Amino acid sequence: MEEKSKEEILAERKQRKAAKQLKKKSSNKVVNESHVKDKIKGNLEENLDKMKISQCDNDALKTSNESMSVNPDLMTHFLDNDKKFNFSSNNTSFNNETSSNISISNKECGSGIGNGINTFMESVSDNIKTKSQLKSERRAKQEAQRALKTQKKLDEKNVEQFETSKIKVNKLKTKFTHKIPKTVDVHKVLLFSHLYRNSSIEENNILTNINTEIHKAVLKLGVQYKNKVIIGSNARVVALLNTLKQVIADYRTPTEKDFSRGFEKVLGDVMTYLNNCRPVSVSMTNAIKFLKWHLSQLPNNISDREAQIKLREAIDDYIKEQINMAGKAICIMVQKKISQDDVILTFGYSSLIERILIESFQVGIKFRVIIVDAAPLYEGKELLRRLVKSGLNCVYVLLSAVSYIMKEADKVLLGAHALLTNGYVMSRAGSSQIALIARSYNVPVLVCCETHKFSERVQTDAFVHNELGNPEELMKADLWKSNNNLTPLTLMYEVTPSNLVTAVVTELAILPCTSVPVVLRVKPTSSTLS
Amino acid sequence: MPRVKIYQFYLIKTSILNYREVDGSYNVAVAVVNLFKNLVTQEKWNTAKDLINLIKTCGKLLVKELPLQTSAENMIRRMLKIVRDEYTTACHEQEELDIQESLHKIVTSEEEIDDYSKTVAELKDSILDHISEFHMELETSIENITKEAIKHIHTSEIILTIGKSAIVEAFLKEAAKHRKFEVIVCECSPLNYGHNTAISLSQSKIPTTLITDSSIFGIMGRVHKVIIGTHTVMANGGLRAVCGTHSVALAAKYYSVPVIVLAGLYKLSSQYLISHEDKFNQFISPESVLKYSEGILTSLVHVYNPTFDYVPPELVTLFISNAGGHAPSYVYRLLSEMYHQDDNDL
Repeated sequence: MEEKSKEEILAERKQRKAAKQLKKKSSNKVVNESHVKDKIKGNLEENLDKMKISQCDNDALKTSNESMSVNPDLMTHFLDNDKKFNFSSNNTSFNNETSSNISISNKECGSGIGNGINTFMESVSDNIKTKSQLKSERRAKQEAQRALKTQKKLDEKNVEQFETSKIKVNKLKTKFTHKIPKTVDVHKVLLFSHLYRNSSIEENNILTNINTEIHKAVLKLGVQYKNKVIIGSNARVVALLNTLKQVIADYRTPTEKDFSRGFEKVLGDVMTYLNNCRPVSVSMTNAIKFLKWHLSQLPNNISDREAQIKLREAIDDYIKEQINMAGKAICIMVQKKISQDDVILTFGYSSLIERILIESFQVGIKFRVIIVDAAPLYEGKELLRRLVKSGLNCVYVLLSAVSYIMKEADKVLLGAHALLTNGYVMSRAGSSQIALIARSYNVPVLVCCETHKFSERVQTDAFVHNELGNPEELMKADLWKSNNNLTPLTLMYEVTPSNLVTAVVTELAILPCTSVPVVLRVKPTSSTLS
Repeated sequence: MPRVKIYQFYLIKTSILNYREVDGSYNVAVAVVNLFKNLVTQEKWNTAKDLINLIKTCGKLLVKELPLQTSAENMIRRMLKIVRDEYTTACHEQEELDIQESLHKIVTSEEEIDDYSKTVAELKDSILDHISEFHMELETSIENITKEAIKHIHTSEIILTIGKSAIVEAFLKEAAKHRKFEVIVCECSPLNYGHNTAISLSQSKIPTTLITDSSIFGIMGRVHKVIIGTHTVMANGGLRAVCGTHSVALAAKYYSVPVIVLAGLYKLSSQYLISHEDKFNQFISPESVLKYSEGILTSLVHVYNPTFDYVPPELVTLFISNAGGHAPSYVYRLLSEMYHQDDNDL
């Protein structure tokens, strides 16, 4: 029996080898074809068959390009008009929206590529389709996709043919033109020089990564992060998890590997790519940690299908329990703290705060809201729109006026990016000033934060680990680019010392900041997950 | 009630009204001094009492028009003080000046209350001389303050400032001639006064970083000194300064960074903060906070765009004026030296 099986295995291996060779040939041909296509552009007198293929390719390319670029545009459009789009991800409507968008783009690409592939397949081979054949076909598809991508890159460099893909192309171009004069080093604040990301390297990384096997949806997500279409700790993690669900669904284990090993590598690639687009948030790191833990729990011989189902369930549970339910619990807790005719001051836009305020209002508590806003993102305006739409009575001021308005406030509610183990609150820049002024006016400061944002990191200042905003948003480039002594600087985050915060509202309880390490230790991670 | 050449008075007054901006307090002070110089020369008056009444009447008109330009009010008080001083010197040449100089004198003085009604020879000339002298003092005040610069800034220091203040700019530029240091400027949105300061400083080869208002606390931990200007120094040593200064001062206090306030003596006011709405704050168009183009939204929300912040005296480390450095607790003394107690109410 064993010998026989060995023989069988050998046979299988041979088959595989054959399939691989076939695949290689076919992929080579695809690449060749694409090169040929370039030539065709200049040379119209080529034979018709090839023309057809190249056109197909072109179509596929265009659709893929459009779907890549138009969707973020659409998003911003939504954002502007305050239509269905929510960048708070607590709302599932947004999830559906993005995922549907993403899926649409995939379909488009798929069909485009499919056409190309089909014609190609017909012309190349009419063999009987065995299993290995199917596999090779799939691989060929992937290769074709890759080839398309490289081509896309080339095309972007070469001609301004694809003006539709504004975001990407424009970004790349400006970067490239800025690279030539070496003034980059001048406009860096020494204290923060470790935080500047080398734009050229970063850009190259992103470009090279486009060549590798990163899922379309992830590429898109990266662009959305980079262009600040998806912002906010919760929104980012939900978008990530939803994207990962797609990645999982489309993932096929390579033959020599088991699912968890193989997927962990994919996950690693995804995260490095996303980190290049914008440094990952604490919530994202925690979610990935959670996912990796789940991966490690998967049995070795699990089938792709089962693993996919398990992971999908785990992700759904995470979104439901850690984000949605936790948010709900916090809402209930804070509601008890808002009394009739209160004036609540809040800063920026936190999806959780929005939920708390709207739900408290719907419960029937009458209160006013002061929204304080500040550069760089001016996200408070979005909160203002939503609260006003829900019928709340709002006041809107900028951060500089907070000293004037604070005497009217009864409570300050702040969102957080993360809670650090030393009890400091990492949040959007400006939060500490609010807390400081609140303290000087004796107004209690409540920070609302789900425990999935608790981090084991410690940090005592805003210098060591931070993110820098776009200096050109602070001041027009022509005012400072030529002036070597002037540097605009925007910090995205800062840490608020725990003594400025009255309490943290989590789904577990209302705690002092310093209880974070306790929560991290008590928090049922591995025990309940298994 | 003395007759005033109203038309002329208004003519000059309107030129003062152009200085409604926040940074115009020096210009307002100079204009007011010139105005009263003209008043003293051109109007008809016989005794010091007449003149005092004249100045008070005009002063009231002016203050009514410029409720927030405290430097105008300060200058009026200063003019009154000059008149009173000159009168007393002329009357009691042999005696010591200033009865209120010490508590002992106040208690022991048996003089009747002088109502400034005696006719004194050449009073007009001496008053005009004194005003000119004061005018000079005013003009050199920025220079005198900037002279102090190298006493306060050391090499490779990081200095934070906020908004736009002519005196702070001059101070830093003066220091930059001798020392190498860095400046961080807060932009002060929505009006972004900080942008102008940053550009101006960087053009004088001072390494300048422009930051958003939200980055103040984050960056304060590495700042060595906060040097700011102010619109008014209140009677208790507090400040009425551009919006956002309170945040800066609080953050500085949190990190124990010294806060140095540069202010010419003409900014010293006898006002206290009662409430923001009472002759303290000014609310300008909220358009820069929330654009009218937001449409319907603007009609549904309240948007505030105040101009000033109150900074309590305990957050200020030092005042530097043209008379040297003072602690906020010393301001009351300067006040009593500069203004006459009878002029606290115009």
